[in-house]
This record gives sequence, structure tokens and C-alpha cells, in this order.
Amino acid sequence: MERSVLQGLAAFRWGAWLWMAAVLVVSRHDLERPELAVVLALAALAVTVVDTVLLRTDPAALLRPGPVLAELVVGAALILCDGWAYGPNHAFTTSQSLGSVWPLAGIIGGAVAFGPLFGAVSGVALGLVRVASTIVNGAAIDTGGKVLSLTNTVVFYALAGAATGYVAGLLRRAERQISAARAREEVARTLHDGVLQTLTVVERRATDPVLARLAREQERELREYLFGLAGGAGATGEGLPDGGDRGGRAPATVGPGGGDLGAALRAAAARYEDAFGGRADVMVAEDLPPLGTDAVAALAGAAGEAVMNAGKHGRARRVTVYVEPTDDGGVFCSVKDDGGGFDPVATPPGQGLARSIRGRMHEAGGRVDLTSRPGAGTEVCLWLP
Amino acid sequence: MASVKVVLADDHPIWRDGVRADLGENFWVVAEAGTADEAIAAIRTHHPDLVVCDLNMPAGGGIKVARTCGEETRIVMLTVSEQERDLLDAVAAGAVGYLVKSTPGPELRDALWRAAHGEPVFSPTLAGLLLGEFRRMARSTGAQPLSDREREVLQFVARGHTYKEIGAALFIADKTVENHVRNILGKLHLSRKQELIRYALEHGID
Repeated sequence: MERSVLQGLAAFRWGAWLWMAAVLVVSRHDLERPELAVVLALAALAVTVVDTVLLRTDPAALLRPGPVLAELVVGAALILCDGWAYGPNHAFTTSQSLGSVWPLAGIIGGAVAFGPLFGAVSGVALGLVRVASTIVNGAAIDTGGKVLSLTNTVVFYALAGAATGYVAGLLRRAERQISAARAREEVARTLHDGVLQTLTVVERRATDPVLARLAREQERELREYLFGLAGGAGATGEGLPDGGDRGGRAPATVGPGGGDLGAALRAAAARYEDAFGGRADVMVAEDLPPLGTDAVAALAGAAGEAVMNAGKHGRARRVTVYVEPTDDGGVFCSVKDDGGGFDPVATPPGQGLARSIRGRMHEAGGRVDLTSRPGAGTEVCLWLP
Repeated sequence: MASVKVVLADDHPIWRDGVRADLGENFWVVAEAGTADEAIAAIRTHHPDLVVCDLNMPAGGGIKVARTCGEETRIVMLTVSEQERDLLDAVAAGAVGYLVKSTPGPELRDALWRAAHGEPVFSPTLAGLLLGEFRRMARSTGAQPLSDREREVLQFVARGHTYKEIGAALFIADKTVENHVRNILGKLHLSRKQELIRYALEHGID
């Protein structure tokens, strides 16, 4: 991108120089010192050629002080000697002069290389050289219009330098961001295709349960990390690492729609997996109605308790958590396991079920339904209006 | 027991080795493929009963395979992560289901065996994704694409119930549950096709 800016500048330099040559030919009769004008035009041509060659061979050199200063000096000389080369009082006539456009290339080049401040300062400097040139030319700055005209030149040069420097800075920052994003994507894709697949194979084929669990944990963390890089995960997924006990790393992503509830349920699923070695899948619909913090706390607390109960009392290997919107604008959540189950009539409700699940849901205005049979697992259904 | 002819498609040889080892003697791997095009060629040559296909492969991936061969054979997608949006597209393109790659060996074998015999392989997560998709359709068209019974069945699957458990809860046969699931898949294919046609008409594409 920087290269295309420099290419544009090179084209501008050539255009400006051809314009200068044309002006020189047209206004040759007004020249008092034609040899000086020719020498200056040749110096500008030399800079134009050298910069063009540099662009092809070593573009970075164009951003170094040497070439930038050389161009500014030749530009300043052009402006200054303008008044000398032409006859007296040329400065305020309507006819064109040598150094009107080409020196701008130096200001722009300096601004691209060293930023808006440098551009503005060199613009003011060349503008002041223009004032000096007018004085050398012997033209009297005796009217408000003439003062205004010179001020105009100074301001125009300074603004051109400042604006170019600013835009070049913006472009450079954007380019850095783009290439950083591209690098991240590349890393994510490589990890996704390679490491994640390998971890999955290890997890599946390991005969050692500790190794399998380690692979699963790593896979889960890597996946959360990758989806965080990709800029937002889907609403589904199993198990978010619990931010608290993993070096304080905040949960990487929260699925859209699932919001805090999705993150809290995935954290509960991860706790179950860590504690009991089974597997818990969490699926939170994307189109849930907006939930208040109390509602999220009640649902996440109750469902989290149900997930832990599945491991603690049911010795379940597999837990499924599902959340969806109901037709009447509420939320439905189910926690189902493949554990031992129990007889709800014969078994008195324990503290966990009574307080942590029913209590929480009733306080939030919701209700609870429990289905269980010995040998057929347990399902806890929660509704919030 | 008759063995099932399988084409394995995955761009990672390590994964194909793993699956082949897990499949055991009831499956006969007739060909392996590393890209979508290789898989399509292998399907055309061997006419397998079942294709086990990675969702993410170079040059088109599983979706291309499902779109091209979904009507000729049964395709089960394998995916690393259920978070992938492409999953729904793959199923809409003609896959009969999908399995996450971390599925333990015996469970994988069992699911693929059932898929080869025509049972849609539905995980709770896929059912949940589908329910969301049908809710979206209902909102945009104002009409409910699923019957009440189909919605009920799909919700049971999303909650983690097996076909057997669903049959028992609804007092219907397992096979009826399976048929409902197949019809639901059919409706997804159909609505996707209609959506494409509507899109084409609206944008003046012939």
C-alpha cells in the first residue's frame, strides 16, 4: 500500500515536471535569466529521475531523510529562484511560474515519510520561501490582496503536508491491522486443521482415561481460543473453561443470543466434566428473549446444580443442556442425563433439588418439572415466563 | 452379518486411519479420499452404502460432496466442532446427519451402522440448531414449517432423548419417530430449495 502511495507520488512528480517544462517554454520571453531556469528545471528533472529509479530498486530509501531533504531543497531553490529567473514584478501577474507545482511533491513525500507535523512544517517553510522569492523579485507587497495571496500559498502548502501525512498514517495503521488480522486467521486455520484434529484423535483413541481427559481439556481451551480469534463463537458448544480457576483468564467468547446464560451454562458443563470425567453438551438457542440478570442467575444456578447432580447422584456419563425460547415469550431449559435415575415418589428431595433448583426457580417466578426413573436417567425441565 | 461399504473422506490421513481402526469388521472401507472431488469420484466408482466425510476439506469440503451425491448414497458428516455454521448447510445439502470427531469409538461405530441402514444420525445439538432454523423460517414466512408432532419430536431429540425414549414418551413406535425425523430433514431440504428459488426470482437470476 505504501508502495502505491509512492507510485502515485512519482506520477505526480512527472506530471508536475512536464507542467514546469511547458511553462518554461511558453514563458521563455519573460525570463531574465533563462540559464538559471534551465539549470533549476534540470535539477528537478534529476530528482524526479532518481526518485523514479529508487522506487523500482529500493522504495524504502524514498522514506529516508536524504532523498526527502534533497527534494525539498531543490523545491525551495525552484521557488526562491523563480523571482530571480523572471523579470521584476512577475510574482503577482497572472502568468504561471516555474516553481508552483513541482515543490509540492517534496512536501507530500516528506509528509508520507515523517508524518503530518513534518509535512506541515515543510509546507510552512516552502511557503515562507515563496514570500522571500517575492521580495527577491522586487515585487512590492503593498495591498491586502497580495498579503492574502501569499498567506494563501503558505496555508495551502502547510495543509497539503499535514493532510497527506495524516492520511498516510491512517493508511499505514489500517494496513498493519489488516495484516495482523490475516496472520491471526492463518494461525487459527492451521491450528484448527492440525492441532485440534490431532487432539480429537488422541482424545478418542487414548486408552488411558487421564490422557483422554487432558486432550479433551486442551481441545476445549484451544477451540474457545480459536473461536475467540474468529471474532465471536456460535451459540452452541460444549464447555467453556471456567475463567476463575484457569489463571484468571476471562471466558473467551460468549455466543450471540446465549449471552451470559450460555457462558454460565458452559462453565457449569466444564465443571462437571472436570469433576466427573463425563461429557456435557450445551446448546443455547440464538433467539432467546432478553433476560434480566436475576433471571440469568436463577436459570444458570438451577441448571448448573442439575448438571452437577447428574454426576454426583446419577453417575451420568453424558449430560445434555438445552435452552430455547417458548412460544409465549418465556424461556425453557432442560438438563438431561443418562445416569442411574431414581424414583421421585419414594426418594425425599435433597437439599440440592429443594433449595438450589426449586427455590431459585420459584423466586424468579418460574417452575420446575422433574422426570426420573431408576435406570432411565433424569431430566430436569425449567421454565421462566 | 453383511458388511457396509464405506468411503472415508478426510484430508488428514491420521484421522482416516483412526476411523478405519474404529469401524471394525462390520464395515468395509472401499476407498479413501482427501478432497471433495476425490470423494465424489470414489462414490461414483464404488457406490458405497455410506460415506463418512469431513466437513472441512480443501476445495469444497463436505458440503460439495453432500450437494453432489446426497441423493445417491448416505452421507454422514464428521466435524471437529459443533459450532460450525456450515453444519446446517451440510445437512440441508443432503447429509443424513453428522458426528463430532470426539465421539468415542463404540458410539461412532454404532451411529454409523445405524446411519448406513437409513436412520438419520441426529445429535441433540443438531436438533437444537434445526429448531432454531425452523423458528427463523416461521418468523420470516409467517407459516409453521413443522407439524406440532414434528416439533415435539425434534425438541425431544434436542433435549437429549433417544428415539426409543421418545417413542415411549409419545406412545409411538421407534420407527415412527425415525420417520418424523426423516420428514423433518426433508422439509429442511425443501425449504432451502424454495428459499434459493425465491432468492433467484427476487434477484432476477434465471
